[in-house]
Formats: sequence, C-alpha cells, structure tokens
Amino acid sequence: MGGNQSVPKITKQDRAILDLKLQRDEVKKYQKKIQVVLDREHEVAKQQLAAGNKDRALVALRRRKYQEGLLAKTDGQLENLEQLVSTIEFSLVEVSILHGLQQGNAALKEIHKELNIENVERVLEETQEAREYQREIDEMLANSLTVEDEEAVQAELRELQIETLGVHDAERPIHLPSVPTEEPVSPIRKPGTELQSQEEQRVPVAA
Amino acid sequence: MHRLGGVGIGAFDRQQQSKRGFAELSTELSQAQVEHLHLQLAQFRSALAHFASTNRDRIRQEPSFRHAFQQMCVSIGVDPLAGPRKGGWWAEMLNLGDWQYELGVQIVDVCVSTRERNGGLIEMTELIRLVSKLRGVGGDVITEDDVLRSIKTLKPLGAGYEVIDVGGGKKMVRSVPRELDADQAVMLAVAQEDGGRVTEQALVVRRGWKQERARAALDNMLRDGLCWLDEQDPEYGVSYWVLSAMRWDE
Amino acid sequence: MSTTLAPYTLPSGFVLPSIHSGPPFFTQQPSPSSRKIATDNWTRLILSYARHQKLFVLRTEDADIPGGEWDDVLSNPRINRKIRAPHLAAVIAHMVATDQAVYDPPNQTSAVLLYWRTPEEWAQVLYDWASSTGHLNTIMTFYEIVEPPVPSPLSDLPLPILRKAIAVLAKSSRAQVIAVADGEGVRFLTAPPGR
Repeated sequence: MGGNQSVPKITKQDRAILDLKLQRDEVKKYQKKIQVVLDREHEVAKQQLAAGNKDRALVALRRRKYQEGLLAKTDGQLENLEQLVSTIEFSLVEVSILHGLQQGNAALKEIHKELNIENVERVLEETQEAREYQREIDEMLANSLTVEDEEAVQAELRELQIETLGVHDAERPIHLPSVPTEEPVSPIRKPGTELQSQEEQRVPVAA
Repeated sequence: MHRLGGVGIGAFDRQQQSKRGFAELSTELSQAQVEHLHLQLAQFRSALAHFASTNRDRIRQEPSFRHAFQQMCVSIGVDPLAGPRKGGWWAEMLNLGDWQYELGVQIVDVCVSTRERNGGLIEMTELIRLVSKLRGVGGDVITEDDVLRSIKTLKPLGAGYEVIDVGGGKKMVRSVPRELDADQAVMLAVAQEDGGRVTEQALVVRRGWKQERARAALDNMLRDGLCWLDEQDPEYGVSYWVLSAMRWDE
Repeated sequence: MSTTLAPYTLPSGFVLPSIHSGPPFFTQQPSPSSRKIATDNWTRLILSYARHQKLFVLRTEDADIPGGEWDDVLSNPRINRKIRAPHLAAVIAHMVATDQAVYDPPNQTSAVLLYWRTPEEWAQVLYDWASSTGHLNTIMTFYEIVEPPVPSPLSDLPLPILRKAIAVLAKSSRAQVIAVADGEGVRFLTAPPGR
C-alpha cells in the first residue's frame, strides 16, 4: 500500500461537513464578540449611573438587552448547526455500518453455497458407509484369529494393564499345578482300601 | 565389508582422531583471535601514540584541543594516565605523580569549561571549589598549595597556566596563553575589591590613573572577553564587570 | 550591590538562571565572543520561559512594557537592569537565523513566533491529541483545534505554527488538508501501518 493510496478521497459530504463547521466557528466568534459588547455596555451603564446620567445608563442597558436577545438567537442557530453536523456524521457512520453488513451478508452467502443440504446429506451418508465398512473390517479381523492368537492377545492386554495401570487384581494369570516333586506312593493299594474310599464317597450321596 | 557409520575398532580410532583434530583447530582459532586482538590493540596504541606525538604541539598549546584529546581517551576507555608504561607517556613527560597529575587534569577541565563565562581567568577559591566538586570531596581536602604545585607541573605543556597575585591575598589562575600586562593585573585587583566591578572612575580615584589610560586598558579587557560591559550602572553610568571575580552560585 | 550570581525563582515557579542576576547581561556586549555567550544564554532563557508560560509571540517592544508578560525575564528589578529594545532585536535576529523563531508576519523584524517546540514536535503533539480525543477520520476546522471548549495542549497555538505542523503530518499521510470557499479544514488519518 503506497503512502498516497491510504489518503481517502475528499467527498462532497466532507466538504459539506467542513462548510457547516466553518459556519459554526463563525457563530462562535460572533458570540464571543457579543459577550464583549455585553460586558462593555454593563460597564457603561454603571459609569453613567455613577455620574448621575440615569437616561444614558438606561440606553446602555437597552442596548445590552438587545444584544442579549441576539446572543440567545445565535445560541439557537449554533444548536441547529451542531445538530446538522452530528446528523451528517452519524449518517455517514450508518452508511458505513450498512456497507459492513452488506459485506458480511455476501460473505455469509458465499459460505452457505458450500453448505447446501444435499452436500451435507451426501457427506453424512458417506460417513455412515465408512463407519459400516470399518466395523466389518474389525469383525473380520476378530474372526480370523485362531484361539491361540486370541489368547496371546488377551495375555498381552493383561501384561499391558499390569504394566501401565499396575493393576494386578484385574485378572491374574492362572497358576497351573506344577509337576509333583516327590516320588509317587505305591500306586497299587489294597483293593479293600480302595473300595472303602469309594464307599465313603458314596455315603453322602446315599444319605 | 564396509558399513556406513563404521562400527568396528577402526571407526573408534577414526572418531578419536577427528576429536583431536577439532580440539586442535579450536585452540588454533582462539589463538588466532587473541593474536588478532593483540595486534589490533597494539595498532590502536601506536596510532594513539602517533596521534599524540604528531599533535604534541597542539596538545601543548591549545587547552581546548588538549581537553578534547583527553575526552577522546576517556570515551574509548583508554586512560592517558596509565599509558603503555607505568605512569603513562604523558605523566612521564610532565614528571608528576598520579594524584598530582589527576589534579592537574581537573584544573584544566575546570578552567576550560568555565572559560566561556570568565574569559580564561578564574579566581583561586572558585577554582578550588569547582575542582573539589568535580572530585566529590569536601571543601578543605584540596589546598591552594596543591593547586599551585599542580599548575607548576603543568608548565611543561606550554599552556601558559599561570597564577596571578592580584593583591589583598587574592589569587587568580589564567588559562589562556596570553600575557596579562601590569595594568590588567591592577584592574583585576580593583575588580576583587568591588565584587567584580571596575570603572574608569575607580581606576582614576583609587589608582591615580589618567582617564585615557583607564579607558584604553578597559577596552582591551573588554575586547579579550575578560570583562563585560554594563551600560546601565545607576552609579557610574558605564561600568565593567570581571565575571571571573564574581561569585557564581549554581 | 549584590555580586553573587545565583538562580532566582519567580512567583510563577520559573527559575531564572544565575547569569540573569549579572548586571552586564542586560547590555549588548561589544566583544564578539562575549556577545555570542550572552546571546546564547538569552535565547535559551527566552525559549524556556516561553515554554513555561505558553507564550508564542515576542516583540521588540516587549522590552519596554513594564508589567508585561515578558517583564520578569526581560528585566531584573533586583539589580535595576533591563534589556533594551535594540539588544532584544539582535537576540531575536539570532533566534530567527538559527530556526528557533520565525518573523510573523513576514517582512518585518520586530515580532516573532517562538519555536519552543519545532513544527515536527508540534505535529506529534497535534496527532497524539487528535488520536487520544477521538478526532481521527473526522473533519476539523483550525479554529476548533486552537480554541477548544476544554483547554488542550494546542489551545491558542498560532495558526502559522498549526499550518506547519499539519504540513508535517500531511507529508507522512497522517493528515489531509481540505479547502472550501470559506476556509480550510483538516482530517487526521489513522496512521498507515508503520514498519
């Protein structure tokens, strides 16, 4: 952006505002002048009264009254001018707001073009299909494992659980009975004893 | 069999070797840098010495030049007092101890910086006051005797620093290479008597001068900037003020 | 007569420098070196007093107006001295020559506008004021800038200085001047993205 480009153009409205403000300044300067006259006439009246010239004092006071009327009138004019300036400036702000809204609206429309219902439905459908497909793959994978594989996977999961969570009681690995270390006692017992035990076992059933 | 990165014993050796190589290179580099720095310093020192020797006359003769040279030395962090040898080349030339020399430098400083308002003449007590202020010491640390000795050792510079006895126990220090004639010394004494003011009338009445002599002498003083003109003296109409004989409170 | 040159504080709070209590300060010095010292001191004194009192105009006649707005500086009743008009005129000429004042109106040499701020410095003050009071991007008249209903740093700023300051801003695209048949106005612009 060049230096000159950033300088806005001077529009008709700009000139109108400046004109009004310059007029307002004139009124303000005029008011200042009247104020000086007012003070002077007051002083004149006081002096004349002190000198015993009642009539002259009266004239001065009349002049003063007249100027006061002018001052009041200019006040009204000043108010009008200020209002007009404010109204124009505010309208310019409104115009720029409207412009902003229009731009925003256009941008929103542009976005909505991308967001039409059909597109959305299609995308949703596609998402659904993709999910189904994923589930099928999962199932197929799960089914294709052999029992040993599945067990290994489960064991690995437990290891991981213990490792990461420190959870031992989640499911302990099964302790299988170990091979006996003692010599087995003579396997052939007296048939009587053998029977007896069978009998004993039977007792509760019979009872 | 050659593997990238080398894992065998040979690679170990290679690594050690390159490590040594780097270490050697780095010492070499820093040595070169130090040497370079030494060279620069030596060059700078010789340039400074050269500058000082080629400009010795100006340094000796022009107090403001000397002042500027000193400021230059200070601003680049070189102490002309220290110099390449102990005591410094300047101190050597001047033959005075560090303390005395420092005091001399400060006297020069005060004289040069107040020259604008006193035309190169400063009253002794004022000089001592300002030097003490510069050193940040109390009123009676530096004595008139110290100043006298320092000024004596400044003599070899040919700057013409001179102590003038203006009578009444008052002394003034002159820092411009210009001889004060006898008449000017008398006028300084008169100024001391009257808070800095000298008038034709005072010279005529108190010293018995002819009016022409007084006027000519005062005009000379005025031209040299040793005193200022005052055309609004309510007592005499026209009077002359020796600014260095006035007390400045700041 | 006192011979101690000491600073003096005026009722307004302005501190006169030591040299102001020196009797010969009020006489134009014949020796060029002394005159230069005195003139430099006068220049500094006048500008700092003008800044302190917000004075913009200095006239050679001010040397002869007892009780005037410049009296405290141009005279020293404590030693019964005052600067004479021709001496003041010489000081003023020096100030104009060194861009610390400008003859206003031009083509005369008895009245100057004092630059106790340079037009560049005034430009910054002006722009800071405009942006801090929400006057960017609106059109303003010169009158409402220098005669604001609430006093501002720009109150009573002489129009020639205001014009110069606006010209400085216009050069850097921070203001634009708008002219109509009845007069002129200015619009301060949002500063272009600075780099």
